Amino acid sequence: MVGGIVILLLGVARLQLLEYRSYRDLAEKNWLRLEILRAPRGRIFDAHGVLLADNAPAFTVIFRPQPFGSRQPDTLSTPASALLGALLGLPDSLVRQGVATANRSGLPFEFRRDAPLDVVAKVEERLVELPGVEVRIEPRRAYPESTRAAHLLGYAGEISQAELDSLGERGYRSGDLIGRAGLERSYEKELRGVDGGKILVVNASGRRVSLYPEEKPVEPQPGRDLVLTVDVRVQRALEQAMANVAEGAAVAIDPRTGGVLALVSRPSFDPNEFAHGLSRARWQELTTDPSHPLLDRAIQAAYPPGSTFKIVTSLAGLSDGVLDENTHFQGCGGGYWYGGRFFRCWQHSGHGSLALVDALAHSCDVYYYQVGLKLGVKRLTDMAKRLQLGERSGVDLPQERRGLVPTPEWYAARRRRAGGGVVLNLAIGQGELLTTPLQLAALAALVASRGRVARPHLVRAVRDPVTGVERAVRPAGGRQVEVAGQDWEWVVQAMEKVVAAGTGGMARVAGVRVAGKTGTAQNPHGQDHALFIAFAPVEAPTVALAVVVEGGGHGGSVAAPIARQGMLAHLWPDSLFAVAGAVRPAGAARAAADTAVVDTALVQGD
Amino acid sequence: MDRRLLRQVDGWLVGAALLLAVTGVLMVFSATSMPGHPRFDYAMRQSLWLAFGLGAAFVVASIPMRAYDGLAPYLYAVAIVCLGLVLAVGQEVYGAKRWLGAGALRFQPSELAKLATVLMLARVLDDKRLDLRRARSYAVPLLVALVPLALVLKEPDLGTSLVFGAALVAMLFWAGMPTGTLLLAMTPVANAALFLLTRGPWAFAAVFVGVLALTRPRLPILLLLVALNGAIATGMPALWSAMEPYQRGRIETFLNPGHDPYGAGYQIIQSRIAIGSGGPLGLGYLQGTQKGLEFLPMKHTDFIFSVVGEELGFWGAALILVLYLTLLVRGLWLARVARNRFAGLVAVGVTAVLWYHVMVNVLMTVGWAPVTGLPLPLLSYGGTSFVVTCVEIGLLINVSVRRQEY
Repeated sequence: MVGGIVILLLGVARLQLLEYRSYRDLAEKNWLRLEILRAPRGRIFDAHGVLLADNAPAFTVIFRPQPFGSRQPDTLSTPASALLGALLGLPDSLVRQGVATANRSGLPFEFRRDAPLDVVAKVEERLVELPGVEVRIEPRRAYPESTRAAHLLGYAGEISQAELDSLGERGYRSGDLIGRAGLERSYEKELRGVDGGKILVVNASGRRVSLYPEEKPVEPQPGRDLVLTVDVRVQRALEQAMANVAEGAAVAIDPRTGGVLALVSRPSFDPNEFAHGLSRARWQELTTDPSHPLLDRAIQAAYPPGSTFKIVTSLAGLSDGVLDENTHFQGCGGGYWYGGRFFRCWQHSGHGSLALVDALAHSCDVYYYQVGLKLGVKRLTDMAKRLQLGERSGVDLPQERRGLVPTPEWYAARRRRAGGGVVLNLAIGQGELLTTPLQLAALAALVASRGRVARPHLVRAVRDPVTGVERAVRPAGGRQVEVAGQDWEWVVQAMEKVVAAGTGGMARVAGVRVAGKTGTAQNPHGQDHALFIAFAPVEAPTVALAVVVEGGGHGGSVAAPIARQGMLAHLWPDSLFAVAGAVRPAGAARAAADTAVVDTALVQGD
Repeated sequence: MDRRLLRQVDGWLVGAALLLAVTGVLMVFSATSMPGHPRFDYAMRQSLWLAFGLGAAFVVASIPMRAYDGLAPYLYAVAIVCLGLVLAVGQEVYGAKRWLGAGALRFQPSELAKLATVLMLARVLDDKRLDLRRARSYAVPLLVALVPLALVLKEPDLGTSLVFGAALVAMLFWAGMPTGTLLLAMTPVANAALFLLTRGPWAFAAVFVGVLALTRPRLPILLLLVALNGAIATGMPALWSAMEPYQRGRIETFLNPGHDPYGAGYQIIQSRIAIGSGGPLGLGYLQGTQKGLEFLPMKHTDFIFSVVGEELGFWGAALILVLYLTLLVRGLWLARVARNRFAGLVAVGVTAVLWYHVMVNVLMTVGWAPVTGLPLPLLSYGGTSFVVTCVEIGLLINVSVRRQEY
């Protein structure tokens, strides 16, 4: 132990007695400065290599305080601060304040973040007259496609003081970007690079003299790139089709892999605004906007599934033996009496007596009331759970909502009887049921793949930007939902008839077998929500979609044509007609249906 | 404590500790102030801790030593549970989970574990029937030290976890473990550690030959040791090169936790410049320049010695080290003169813990050891660690006042 202390004495003596002069030199005449070389964030590409998130250089004008004991004056002279103010377009008093802050804290003060090039050029020219002023170049996030795919990409913002306190020595520094939403957030670990640095020896006026010889500069390592499953052409088609939709969402999934092809939420925002640094007022504006543009409705909003839920009711009935393809119930005369109440069918004139395929094709409520009554709440909600509803899908995006499948236990916990009235509502997708658009798209994908569960995901691979080596991201999945093969086929056949001869005619694509289901969900706050889910081609599905238009009215007339645009873009991605533009709102629906026939005819010849 | 006991208090020990603690308050004030901008808040809080620590030391010294023997298992159990809790629900600060509780009430269970482990080891090694020439006698002491070591390592806090090893080795030695056996038993650990530090087998090979020449073990043991260390020496480089760069990076951050390599290197350079520029006489109290700049972010905690070196110069730094030396020498002296074996073991354990902290911290500030985040006892700003050090000094005082008792 005594020996140990002697070693310490020797260590101190070496520094203070032998090497004293060189260190005093370093401390007095020169100063060391750590220059952080910021690592660019990883880029994000769509499935075909289209760049969705990139880095661009940003110039920041700063004032760096002089080291203590420096003989240089530590404030900018009056003419110098006036000059800087003039160049940057800032009032003189603000410049002085910044200089004072820097000198008090010992940390550089940023006058102008992300300054335009012409301002930077002017400052650079007069730098000699502005001691302590520097222009710092750092990578800034840039989203070349602007609002395109904004919700799935998310955005990165400057790290807050609270985050710094908890993450500080994980390498985060003040001024760093950190993912706040979307993929930027869920893949923060991959996207973030490792900052490098170099130690400079600077002279008393703050100018660089040399590199500190004892420590080699460390190059920054850029973050890893993400390669998505998203096809920007499908994304674009759906966004354009929804250009007139005030609030709503659409999701397209490849049912073979679970890879998300497109994910749209309306209204959108421009993530570039966040990269440039958002003013407090603009942030306020975005967060208090009643249409909540930052909310990703595809995963963070939940809607009653409406009649799209009849797929679940059908599967429950078929697999529990309550019905088969030939079962006829009491015919539909526009409604159904139960418990002294009259439950309407949406078709007030009635459907007459139908079997399963036609009941689904025409979305007959009376038929499904009776299926629901035979099943009861338990068996119906069991099937919903088996079809992955009421649970987070596990998609690689943050803050996904769970939705709600109200089981008998759920009602019991709220002291409510899960009786006939309840099951009647649930059977047609109303009542307490809530689903996210992503869950609905996943439901369509599940039917398309005849029950093979593939977890929805957006990232196909993570790529090293230097070596180009890709590491595939493989979400768990591959489970099979236990429903007999023939039962799937009956539902698929019925869904095909929905489009061919039923309520979903506006999703028809000539030459391609499309299966779909319309939905119109009652909205206590206003007009009904329009829903549509679909997949195609029926014989070997490659795309499954869900479209929700808030307050849109009928699913068949509003949501189905949007889904159709998505399918066209997927099936003929480079066709001119696949990017036909905005689908007209409900009023013009009939006309849209007519034009639909025209352009599919042309597409066929493509 | 009655008057008779008070007269037995070791003046050297108390004097050195008090001088260090008061210097600590003054240095914390200097480290947090800048020329023309005095800051009193840190120094005030440190003074409060000092007052509290004095009280704690007095209370600890007043309780009869026998009580600690009985208390040890309970204290140890509480410490282990707290360490487990830290891993389960602890607060993450700087990328490691080391704190329990929140706000003013948070504390580092690893500090409590240091005390509890020393007491528990002393209790275990105090057994008259313990025969340290038999291998199985080591099972219990080894377990007592390794459980907290592993838990703290998991936080991760390599620097602190090794303090349990230091206490174990010192106390085993004091309990009568043959020196040769102790040295030989430590060779595999030294082997792996030296490889990671030097990235080559040669440093260890030299140490190993030295140890063997010194201890001359019997042939079967010699063969066993050579085989074991040979396997480690050949296995480590293979393991190292088979690792992915990011895994190596992880080990490097593990050896050097919480800091990116570049940042840590920079801190050490700044610390060396601060100490070196102090020269023989120093720049004078409150006159240091390096502390005011943006480097040395932990100047009032882990890097307080750099401020001492810069402002008080070599003679000031040497005086501080001599004060520590006094503390350690008195600790060992107390262990020798204490008639009670448990008390002696406690004195050795506490002294080893203090020694380990001083060594690791000062070696870090002069750039001869990696940045580990261990405080300098009594000098560094900090609540839990400061009070625990006071309790440790209290235990030494306790030994000193009752050194005549059996």
